[in-house]
Amino acid sequence: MYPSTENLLKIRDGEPIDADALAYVEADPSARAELRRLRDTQQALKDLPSLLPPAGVWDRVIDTAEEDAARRVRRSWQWPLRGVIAASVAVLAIQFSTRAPEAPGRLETGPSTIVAESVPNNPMTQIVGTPSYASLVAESARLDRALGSITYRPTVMRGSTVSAITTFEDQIAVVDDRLMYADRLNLNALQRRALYQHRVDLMNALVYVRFSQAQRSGY
Amino acid sequence: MPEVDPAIVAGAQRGDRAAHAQLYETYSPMVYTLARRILISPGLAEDALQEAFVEVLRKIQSYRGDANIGFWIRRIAVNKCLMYLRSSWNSRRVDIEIPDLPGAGGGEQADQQIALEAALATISATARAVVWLHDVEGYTHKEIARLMGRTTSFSKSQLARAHKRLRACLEGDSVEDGSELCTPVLKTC
Repeated sequence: MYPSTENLLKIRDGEPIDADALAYVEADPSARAELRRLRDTQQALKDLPSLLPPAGVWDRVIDTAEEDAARRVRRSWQWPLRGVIAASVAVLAIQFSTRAPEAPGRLETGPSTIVAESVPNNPMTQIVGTPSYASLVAESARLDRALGSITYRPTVMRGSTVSAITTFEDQIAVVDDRLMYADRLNLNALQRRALYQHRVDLMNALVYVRFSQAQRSGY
Repeated sequence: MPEVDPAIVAGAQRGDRAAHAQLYETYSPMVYTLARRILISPGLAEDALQEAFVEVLRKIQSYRGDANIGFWIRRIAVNKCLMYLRSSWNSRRVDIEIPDLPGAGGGEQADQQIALEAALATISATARAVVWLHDVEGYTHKEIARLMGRTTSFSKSQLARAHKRLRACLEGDSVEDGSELCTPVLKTC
């Protein structure tokens, strides 16, 4: 039987093939001619001339590569990752637990009864698993209330603490802005949930810092 | 496959702009030729060339030197071309943009080359990619199948199909499935 093009290509490329098909090709002049034609076509394709790229592409490559690099840097700063927040909180926690209190000494012996009135117990959240949008909204509101209930504000603070608090507050403001214009920004449900999750994380960090300050001051 | 001094590659990995330019100068004709043969459209080939080299610059530090850097660049270029073929928007551009087929000088050989390029432009994009990668670039059916996310049988059948079409277009025959048109760049041919 006359071999198929697929079988002739197998012979051309030295792939294993049925012995009968091979014998047929060897015996049949037209099959041999077809095999030769396939070899010639392959060679002709290889002999096609190389083409020179148009001018100006390299400049565009450089421009795009630089834009890419700049975008990656911007992205890394625009959206402070939770890891950074967690690290900041951890550093602050260590600072608060190992160093002397920054509040005035008199507050160390301040009335503990006031503490009970002004500082809520366990104001921070520990959300496990993937929370729903509604639970994140509720948690965010609860953290807002918890933060509002911590009335103590130290008169003197370390620069790093001020910087951390300012960063958290600025980021919360950015998130709130985006949530406010979520419709206009065409944010989908997943994006909105991610924003609220981010807000809860930031609020947790901020509440933690404020709560720790209040505790350390003797409240 | 052209080669460059390993010092150029090392320079490129350190971010030396002159070394980057040297890599481009050495390998851009290879990448552009590959892109033109597979994508046909000059505009798409230019885009593929640009994207391939942006990726080369982005990933050059991950190149470990275990193979000629030309093969590494070619692999990036092949992936870009196949990505373009998979994109519905770009495959539409392939259909729309009919190129001026490049020729080489004059004479009988040049005529044959122009005829072959015209025939190549008439076969389906997938079959064209398979025939070029297999018959010219030396990829195995297994490698092509992996690149395209298909089986080796698919690659083999596309190669056979491409050769039948090329023959039909070069010799003016009709092909087995009855379609006789050999209009450049139309996927239906």
